[in-house]
Amino acid sequence: MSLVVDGLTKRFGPVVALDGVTWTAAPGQVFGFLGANGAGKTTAMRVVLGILRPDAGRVTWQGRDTHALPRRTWGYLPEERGLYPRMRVADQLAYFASLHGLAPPDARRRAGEWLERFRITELGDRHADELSKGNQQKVQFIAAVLHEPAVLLMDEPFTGLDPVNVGLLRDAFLELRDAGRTIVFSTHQMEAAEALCDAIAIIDRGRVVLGGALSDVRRATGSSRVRIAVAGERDLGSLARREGAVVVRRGVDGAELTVPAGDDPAALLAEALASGLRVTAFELVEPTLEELFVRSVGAARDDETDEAGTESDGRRRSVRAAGADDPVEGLA
Amino acid sequence: MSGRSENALLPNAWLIGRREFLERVRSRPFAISTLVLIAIVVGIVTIPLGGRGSNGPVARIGVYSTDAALAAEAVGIVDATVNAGGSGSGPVLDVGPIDDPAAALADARAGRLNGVLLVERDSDGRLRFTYRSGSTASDAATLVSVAALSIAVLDWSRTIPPEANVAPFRMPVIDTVAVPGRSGPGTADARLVGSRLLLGLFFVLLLFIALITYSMWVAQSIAIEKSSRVMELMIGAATPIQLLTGKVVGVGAAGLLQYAAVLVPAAAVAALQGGIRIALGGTSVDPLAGVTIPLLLAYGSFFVLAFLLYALLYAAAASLVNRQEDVQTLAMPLSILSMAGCICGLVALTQSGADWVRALSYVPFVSPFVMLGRILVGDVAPWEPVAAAALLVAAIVVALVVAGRVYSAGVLMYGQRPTLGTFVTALRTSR
Repeated sequence: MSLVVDGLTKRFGPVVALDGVTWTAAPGQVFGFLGANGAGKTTAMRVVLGILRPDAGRVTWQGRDTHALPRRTWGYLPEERGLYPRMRVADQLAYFASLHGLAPPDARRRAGEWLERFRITELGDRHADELSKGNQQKVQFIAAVLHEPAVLLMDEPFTGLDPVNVGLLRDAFLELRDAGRTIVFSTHQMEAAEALCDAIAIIDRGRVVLGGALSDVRRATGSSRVRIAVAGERDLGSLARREGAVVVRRGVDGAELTVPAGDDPAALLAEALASGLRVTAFELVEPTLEELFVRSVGAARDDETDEAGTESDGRRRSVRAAGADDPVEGLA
Repeated sequence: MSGRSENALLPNAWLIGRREFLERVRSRPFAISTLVLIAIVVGIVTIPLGGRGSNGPVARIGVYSTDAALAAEAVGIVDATVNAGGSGSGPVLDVGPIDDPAAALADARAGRLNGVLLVERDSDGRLRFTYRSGSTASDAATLVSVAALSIAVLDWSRTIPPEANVAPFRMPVIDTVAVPGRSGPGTADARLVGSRLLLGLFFVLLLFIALITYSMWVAQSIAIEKSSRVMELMIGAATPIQLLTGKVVGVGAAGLLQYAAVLVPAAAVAALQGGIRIALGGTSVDPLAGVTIPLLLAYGSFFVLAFLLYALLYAAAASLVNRQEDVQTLAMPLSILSMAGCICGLVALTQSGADWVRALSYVPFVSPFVMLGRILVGDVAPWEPVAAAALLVAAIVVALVVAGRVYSAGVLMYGQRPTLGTFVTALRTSR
């Protein structure tokens, strides 16, 4: 009974915006949709929302095609921020909530609660064009969640927010998740995704190159590393010469390096101790999301280059290159 | 509950329409433009007070008899009878003798003469009147018949010698004969036709101006939402059809309100003109002669249908632009189309019988103007406006589907030049 995106393909003329995109977000899960600018995140969100028609593939929520679902199933925070400039904030929130079927008194009460939570109660009577961009973004977020949708689709929700507001938004995410909402958000901010996501899909040029539960993804990459800190030693011995070893810090008081964990991290510790190093810290470190992202996107592009090199007509490569630019700004 | 039923037109279209309506009518530009329009239209309506006070003849009736004395007497009586409504500022119908009845009949057929009255005397002395006119059922024909009776009575009274036995009065023979020929102001009741032509001109132009103005309101409203990016939020909250319908209805209602606010005082001034003109020493010709409830209903219906059709297409066009300034450019073909319709409507006022005018009065984009023109000059069978309206409704349904598809993709398109290709892409990519 999840949100299932299955084999979505979408072209804009010669440009492939989505190429067989598949992922699943379980109910009550925070799902991160990661990718660089123009990777196809916004197009995928719009197809899920039912605004765009895919050329192939389907999207279902709890087993039903999403285009057959009422709009109020979704809470949508678009990437492009916008409100009615000369309309009071409280009125706008009540208006958007009423479009999702909420009665005006309920809409106003909930709007008041959310404004208070985001510490902008006093802005309720102001016109939107009198608000800072960050506050406008918070108002838009409230507009997306006010009707308590089952699924939240948030396109780059953290862009443009200061650290305090990022924190407020993260807390709201987690609270909504705990309340059983399914949250799908796109971002290219890996830290935010790492802090929030239960599952991810990394998309590059319209194709999902890595996806699944975050812990599974990390495990599946088989690329855990060991962080070893030593005191007073400048010569790190054989550890520093191991394949994939990276010296993170080297100072007068000690040094720190990471090496691939391999199959048996304990053997690494034994090797360090045997070589006479004074080990002060030994830690198994999983790859960061950023590392996974760079690695998977980079690998996908390497594969593509190889693949394109073997194709006689070179058509695929040219289509991909075109896809790097948004065919229709905002559509990809 | 299915999503389709929950995504039904109402209540979201109503909520969107209400917001559009309230935002517009509460705005200062709306209030100012309404006041300015009221001043302009009332001013235009008031102008004829000066001009019509000295109305000259608007059509002619020729009188012929082989008996010159009888002809002169007939001219005087017909003149006095048909112009009895005037009040000293000159005749409404110019009545005069004619020398060549054949040429006069040709003039009647060509519309240069309202009618020709032939006065003959039978061998037994009885008078025979023949009135030939394009509209034998008009007020003028009736008045000519009355005049003929007066002429006969006067003629009979002269035959009575003092203290003689009085021969009985013999009713004259009075025939009114329709003259085949083109229809025009000279062949129907001149005052009615004149008024209807003026009204036709006024209504057709008003329809055109209102259509362009209020359709452009819809387009601008969409362009503003798109450029301010609030459209992104709206498209997630309501379906394209709900958005389109709400916007067109809301803005249209605001337009109708302004329309009524302008027309009601203008109509009141026009209705009072008769009294005002008399007070100024002019004639009492009613400037609203020819304005009937069916005519107003027909006008209102065609106005609403035409607005829906054009506003939907203006909305679709506006969804493709990136900046508000581009709306005019993209809406130009639609403006030209409505202008062509307006011109055809004006032509229909004087050539309502032409085949091509009849044909165009059923073509949806121009039919509101042309059918209205035909109705205003009274040349329409009752089923014809109904058929034209039915075709318009069908066209509106098609326009709603097409505009909905263009709109749903168009509002998400940024950074592209709005071209025919963009339009086709929008149609193909939308849900």
